[in-house]
Formats: sequence, C-alpha cells, structure tokens
Amino acid sequence: MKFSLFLLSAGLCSAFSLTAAPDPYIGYLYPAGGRQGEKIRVLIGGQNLSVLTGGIVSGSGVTIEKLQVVKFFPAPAGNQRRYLVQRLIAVEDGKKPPAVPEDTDGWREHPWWDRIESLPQLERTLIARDLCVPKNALQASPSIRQMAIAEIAIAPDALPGRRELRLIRSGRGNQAVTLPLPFFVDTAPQVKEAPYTMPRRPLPPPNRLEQIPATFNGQIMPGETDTVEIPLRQNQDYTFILTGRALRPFLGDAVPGHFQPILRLLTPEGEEAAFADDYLVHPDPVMFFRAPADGLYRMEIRDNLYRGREDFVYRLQVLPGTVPPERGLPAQTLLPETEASSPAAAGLLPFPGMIRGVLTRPGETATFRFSGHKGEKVVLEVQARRFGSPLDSRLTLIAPDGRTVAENDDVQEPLLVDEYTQHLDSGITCELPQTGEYRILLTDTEGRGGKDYFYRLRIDRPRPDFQVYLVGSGLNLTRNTPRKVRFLIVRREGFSGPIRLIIPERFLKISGTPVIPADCKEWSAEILPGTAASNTPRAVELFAEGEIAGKTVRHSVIPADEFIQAFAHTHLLTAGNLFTAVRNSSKKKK
Amino acid sequence: MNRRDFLKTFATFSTLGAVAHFAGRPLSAWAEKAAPPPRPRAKSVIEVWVWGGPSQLETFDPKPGAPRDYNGGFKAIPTNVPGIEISEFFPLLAQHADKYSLIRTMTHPHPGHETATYLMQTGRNPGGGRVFPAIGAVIAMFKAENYRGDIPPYVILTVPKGRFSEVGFLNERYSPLVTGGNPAAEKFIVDGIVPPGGLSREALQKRFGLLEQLDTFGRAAAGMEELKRFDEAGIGARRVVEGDAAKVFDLALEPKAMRERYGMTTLGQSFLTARRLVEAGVPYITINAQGWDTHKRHFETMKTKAAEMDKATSALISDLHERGLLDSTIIWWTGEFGRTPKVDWDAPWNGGRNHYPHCFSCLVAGGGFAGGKVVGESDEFAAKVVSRPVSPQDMLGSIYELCGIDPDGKLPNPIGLDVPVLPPESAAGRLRELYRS
Repeated sequence: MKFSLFLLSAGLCSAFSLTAAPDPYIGYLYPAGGRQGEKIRVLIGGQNLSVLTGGIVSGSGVTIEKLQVVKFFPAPAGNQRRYLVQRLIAVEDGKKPPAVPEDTDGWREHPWWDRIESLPQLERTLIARDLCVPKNALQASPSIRQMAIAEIAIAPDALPGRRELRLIRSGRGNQAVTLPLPFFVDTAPQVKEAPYTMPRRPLPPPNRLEQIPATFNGQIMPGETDTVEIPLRQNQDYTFILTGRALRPFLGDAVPGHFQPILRLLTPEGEEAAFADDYLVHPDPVMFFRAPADGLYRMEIRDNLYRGREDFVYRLQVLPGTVPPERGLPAQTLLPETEASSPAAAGLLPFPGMIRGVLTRPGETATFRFSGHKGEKVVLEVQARRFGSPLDSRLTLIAPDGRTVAENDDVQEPLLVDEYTQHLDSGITCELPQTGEYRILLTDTEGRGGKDYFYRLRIDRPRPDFQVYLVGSGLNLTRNTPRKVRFLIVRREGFSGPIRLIIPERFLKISGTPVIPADCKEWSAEILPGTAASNTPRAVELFAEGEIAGKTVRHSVIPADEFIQAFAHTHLLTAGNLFTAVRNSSKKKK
Repeated sequence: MNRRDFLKTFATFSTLGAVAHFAGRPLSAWAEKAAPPPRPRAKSVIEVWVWGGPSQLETFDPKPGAPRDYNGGFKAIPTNVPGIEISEFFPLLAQHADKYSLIRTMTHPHPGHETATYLMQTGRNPGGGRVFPAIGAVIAMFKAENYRGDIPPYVILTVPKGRFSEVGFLNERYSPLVTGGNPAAEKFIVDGIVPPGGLSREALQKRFGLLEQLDTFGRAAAGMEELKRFDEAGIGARRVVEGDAAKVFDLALEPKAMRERYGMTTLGQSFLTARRLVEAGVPYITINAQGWDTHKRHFETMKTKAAEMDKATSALISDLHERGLLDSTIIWWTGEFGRTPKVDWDAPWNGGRNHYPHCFSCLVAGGGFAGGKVVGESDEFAAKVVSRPVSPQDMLGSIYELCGIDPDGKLPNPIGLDVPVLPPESAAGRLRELYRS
C-alpha cells in the first residue's frame, strides 16, 4: 500500500534532547475525514505529542502539510481568566478588546493568549473550552489530553475511502511513529459541528445540512446530545450512516465501554420519527427513512449512556436513497460454490464445495446433503458473523442412519480480530462414521432469520493453514538495542509445523533463527534495525512460510495492535502496514 | 488388645483403605480431609478488603529476578522470617512476618470486579436466582448467639463495597452497619450512632425526652405484642447512642502516640477503630480500602497507597499481638483479584496493571492461623500457580472453621432454603497447613 510521508521543516520541530523520549500516542482525530479537493484542519488528541514533526497517510492524495502541537494551557489567575474570556467575547462581537487591568500579579503565560484576535476559530475554541468548561476529572483521560492541529490537504482525485493516519516524530535521532487512526476521504460536502459556545453567550444557529448528500462531523462531550437539521422531501428515501465506534473500536479506559452512538430523528413538529442504535450486529447505527412530508427534520446524536469524551468522534453520512453499508461475503475461488436457492442445492452437494445462501425466514432450517465415506475427515464451517451477518449459526451433521454425528453452535476462535468479537460462527470437524448420504442442518441459534442473514457454508476436507500476526503495527526501534516483539499464530485444521519468517534484513533483523517452532501459538523474538534502516520511518513487509502437504505456502504477516476492552478481553485490530521508526541510541544526560 | 479387638480394628482399616483406594486418593490425604476441624479460636475477624485488586508483585509475591516489564524495577526485601521476602513497598510489615502467613496462589477465573467480589465474599458464582450472604453476614449470624454487644455484629469502615447485597437472603439484622464518616476527623461521626455536630449527651437526652412527649401513639400502644420488636429496637438504638457502646468510635480516647502509630489517615484510623471494635467483641469488621484498581500509572499510585497500608496493617497486627488479642482475631487481607503480571507501559495505561484473577496473593494472621509461613508457589512472573492453588471457598472455609463454623453444615436462613454454608472444598483443600495446633 502506498503512503504519503511528510516531514516538516525545522521551524516546527521543538528542540529536544537525544535522550529517548516516550513514544507519542494519538487517541482521536476530529474531524476524522474530509472531502476531496479540500484542505481541512484536524484536531488531534493524544500524549507525548510535544515533538511531533509530521505524519503518514496511507494511499495517495492525502498530505499533512502542517502540524502544530498545542502547548498546555496553564491555570490562569482569577482576574486573568475573566479578562481572557472578555477578549474572546470581543472577538466574537467584532468589538475592541478590553484594556488589560492594572493588577496582573500572578498572571500566567501562553503563546496564544497574547494574540487571541489573530487566531483562527479552532484555536479560539480550544482556549474558550479550557477557560470555561469545568474539569470533569471522572471523564478526563490523560492519554488524550494533549492536542495538536494538523492541516491536511486532500487532492481532488484522492480515492474515497478509509485511510490510515499516523503521526511521526523525526529528526535529531529520536524517531517514533504512532499507531494508526482511521481517516476518511469523502466525496460529499462536509459540515462540522458548531464550535463550543461560552456560557451566557448567544447560541449559534443550529447545525444544518444545506444539501444531501453531506457528511456531518461531530464530537460528543460528557452528557452532550448533538443535533443537526436536515431538509427532507416527502416520499424520498434517505440513509443515515454513522461512523463512531468504528473510529476507535476499543477504548479500554472508557468505563463502562466504548462509544455507543445512537441516532434519533425528529419531525419538524418535534415528534420522534425514527431511532437507531446499531445496524444488524454492528454497534454504529444506520437508519433508513422515508420522509412522510417535506420539512426540516432534526437528527439527534449522542452516546447511549449519555457519556462523552474527546475521542467520542463521529461522522454522519446523509445519503439519498436506501444505501445499505457494504457488508457481505467476499468472493472466493477456493471451492465450487452453489447457491442455496438454486435447484442444484436440493440435490447432493459437491464435497468439497461451498454453499452460499440466506436464512430468509425466522425459524428456518436450511438442509443440505452430501455423500461421504466412512473414515473420511470432513470440515463444516459457517462463514457468517465474521463478515457481518446477524446469523448466529447452529450446525448439525446427521449420518445416513439418522443419528446425529455432531452439533455445534460456536467455534472458539484462538484470537479476536477486528470486528469479530464473539465466537458465533459454528463449525464441525469430524471423521465420518458411515458411508452414505449425510445431511447438514443449518439454523439460527435464536430462531431468527431475514434477508440480511447471509451465510456461506464450507463442506470440505481439512485444509491445514496458518496466519501469523505481529503485535504492534508501529515499531519504534533503537539502534543496537533489541526490542522484544510478539507473534501470534493461528493454526487451522491440523497445521502444526514450523513457520519461517521472511524478513527484509536490510531493514529489520531478528536475533536468532527466525523460525516459529512447530505447534507454537505465541512466539517472542528480539528485533533490531537492519544495516540499511535509516531514521526515516518506513513501511516494512514480513512474510511467513510453512510446508503444507509438501508445498511451501507463503502468507503476509499481518501487523495488528492489541487493545483491551472491559479489562478482560484482548482484541487485535489489524493495520494496513507495519511501520518502523529507528532512533539512535539514547545518550544519558550529564 | 485381644484378638477380637485386633480383628475389628484390622477390618476397619482394611475397609478404609479399600474405600480410599476406589475413591482414587491415598489414604493419608483422605484421612487428612477427614481430620476433625481445628479448635475454634477466633472470636472476631477483621477483613481488610483491598478494593480493586492489589498487585501480587508489589505486595506479597515480589519477583525481583523478573524483567522490568514485570516488576517495574522494584525489589523484594527480607522479612523477620528467614526465607520469606515481600515487596519493598511494605517495609514495616516485613518486620512482623512471624505473625502472619501469606497465600501466593489464590486463584479463580473471574476478572470482573462484581463477579470476583461476590465469589471471594460468598464462595459462590453469581446467578441461580439467589443472593448468598457475604462472609461477614454469615459470621455475624453464627456468632450472634454469644454476642451481647450493642454495636451490630457486622461493621464496615467506612463505605460499603456496593457490589451486591452483603446480607443476601439472611435476616436484615445481619446486614452490616456502615459507619460512614471519617475516623481521622476531629469527631468520627458514625451514621446513626454518633450524633453529628456538637450535640452533647445532655442535649441528646433532652431531644429524646421531647420525642417521648410527642409520641402519643407509643403511649397508647404501650405493651402491644405486635410492637414489642419495634420497641426493643428503639430501646436498643437509644442505648447505643446514649450509652457507652458508642465510645468505641471515640478515637480521642486513644493516646496520640497510638493514633499516630496507625497513621493519621482515614485508613489508618479505620484500622485503629477495628482494633477497638474487636476489644468490644464485635465478631466481624471490614475495612474497605479503596483505590487499588491501578489500571493506570500503577507504580505512582502504589507509592502512596502502599505506604499508608503498610503502616496501618503492621500497627494492627503488632498492636493486637501486644494486647494478647491476635490469637482470637483473624486478620484477612485480600482483594477480589490481583493484577496483570506484565506491566502495560503504553497509552492509555502508562505503566498500569489490569485485572488478574489467575494467581494472586493474600495475607492471613491470628485467630488460629499460624504465622511465618507461605502457602503456594507461583511461577517466575507471579502469573501461574505452580503448586497448591487456593480457591475462594477454601479460604472462606478455613476462616469459618477457625471461627467454629462448619463450612459443610447447613446455612440457617429465614426462608427455608436447604443450602450448605459453602460449596464443597476444592481438591487442594482448605488451609489446614496453616492451622495452629
């Protein structure tokens, strides 16, 4: 995958010692996307941002042109606070700033406070919020308290879709790269939530979309409900797609859990017209609505539990028509595929083979037949929930003599990866006890069904295979200092052999033999920068090879970042790239 | 012994041996579990509930040889028992290791606060339609027969756990008295017992007198059988408030040096109050010590939390010992679980430890528990039990036995349930190796 790496000039670097600084961390981007052909200012929250110098965005056409770290605001003296608020109000009202009072004892300094009148809106908003919002210690998270402002240019021909944005620290031998955050390139006009309003000030006009399609960008702070007015036309269909949790799926320190956005649409008369808090099994809501009358409708967006934090950022796409978000089974060429609704599905299915279908009615049981021989090993695998189907499948295998051979409703996956957070796809692996015609029954565990309950059922012989994940998609390395990394290995259907890691040794080296032993599911190794590794952060690709049935099989090693949710579960979020940054060996301060 | 007796004895042991063999256990183990319960010594229990789950590595199972990613760079220190080391965060407690014992292999499967707390307090998993009582309520109930004090038999200093109803399905009279207030303040205002403000005893009596004058219903209903319990409760409450029982909460009666020995903090003075409650004969006292759920910046928090805990716990153990009360008072120091052995240095944890129930530590002292011992062995990271796992029901069962309560006996309850005090002990069994003979 291509990326745009942007390193900025020395004017933006802060002077920094050669001692190894803690790695930077970014927790949110607001807004989390922009339109083709526009330049936008993005507020970034995180920690250890003081020495950021640039950023990397995957794909092409999106560039971070400028990056400015916001200096922490000191607590102002009482009369200083009042004075600063009056200056902000004067700017808003277009009036002359107030005179500085005589008593300035104990006044603190901040580079922005001296030039409020010349600051852009975003900076003034940050000052206002800092001065006026009570510090709610219960919701404050130090890991996202520090801020930076990035100016991002999106080319007119930048491909729309999801990108990964990372920030980097470079220069003076102290390179580091952050974890990635999603950034979206959009084709629709963008509207941003009105900035914070200070107490006892006139409220701004309501947020409003002037046209559809459009995307509304907001941020839910504690207890907040955002609203946006949307003009809708009678008998027209609309789709509202909110991306919120998907921006940060796992927030381990957001008690009791991640952002749970909901949508509530009100008629011009203020009556609730529609409500959505998820879409199928996805926690981000999607609403399909046909407007009964022309008018200015109002959409409310909030957290289900009225929580809020700076990283509760969302994007609300408003689209004409009924446009379900893309979900569904990816194409496959591994095995011949039969449509469950086709006449062929009523007969004996190919073994091995795939069958693809939908449980269209509640309580429906799909029945399939195949022919097998005694002693043959068979794998039945349902692929549904992992691709976003609401189906919670249950499988039953029945022998030719009518006896149940095996039943299953959940297969425990060794790892929880990306959106697959529950082990809900079923599977059976067994040896056939008889020769003859077998039946497979597929149903939903809770007796549900509908047009969205798609599935694919694999009827196959065991196919040993493996996948290797590298924990940590941003490796910050120090020259001549090994760093321990973990590899997590998923072994399927009997694969137990050793796995060779193919590493571009010019950029990365592993201490010892880069071979994951047989049967090993978690392997640690020490890595070092290679001889050609420069201080410029770069993407690196690793591969893993194993021998399966006498053939060498190669897969990419998938970089993934590990997150805790609810203090008990660990999830992996895969990243598009593995990035490494190399710093020079640290020197101790005298 | 004559031949008949010999044959009778031989037959008995042969039968025992056969039963043990078919039960798959060596006779010695079977005989050990069939051994009579210990002599009940404990009249009181002080539970130090380390709320949130204390890290086993920074308390009683340090691993100085492990990498910094596990021990944070902190060390172990010797105690006054050769061979036993504890974390450097507890230097005062290290001087009293001969009086307490450590269990390093507590284990259960639940990493959530509520479920783990319930399990540690009741010996049972939640669910099944019943809320079982916590150990405090159970001991209060069993000890109530011989307890004549005016203070309720189960006292919590100073805030409730709040995770579940601790009295469960038992009678409300065994629910805890939660003191509220702050024992380190100039006046320790205990809810319902110590009047707030500067209300003197004389003023209080005047108010009661006024209340009596206004209570025309009470006078009209005097002697009614239906109100007898109500009247008794009122008389009892007034006796507590007006009488000497409330003096147990008056820490001004303690010498200043004693108060400072425990530490002039809410926690320290709670420990001192617990000692006074033991002297008053209260059967069960819980000290809820909050703030140990150190997901973030664990080591920074430990530096302050551990210091006050070290001071208070060592003062309590030594003070009870000096007063000759340790032998009749169990001290049980634990949280609902431990913390992840590997430190999470990354944001947002910034050097934190998360929940970890699989292998954690607790401390027991007094009341029939021997001192100077360690039960269980963990691996080099305090992550896995290597030998001698201890389950919550084994821990609770041990405390019950030392209090003279049969864990396998029936749990008396007012709604006619047929339930034992605890589920059966685990294969590893109760802490018999710690019972003093």
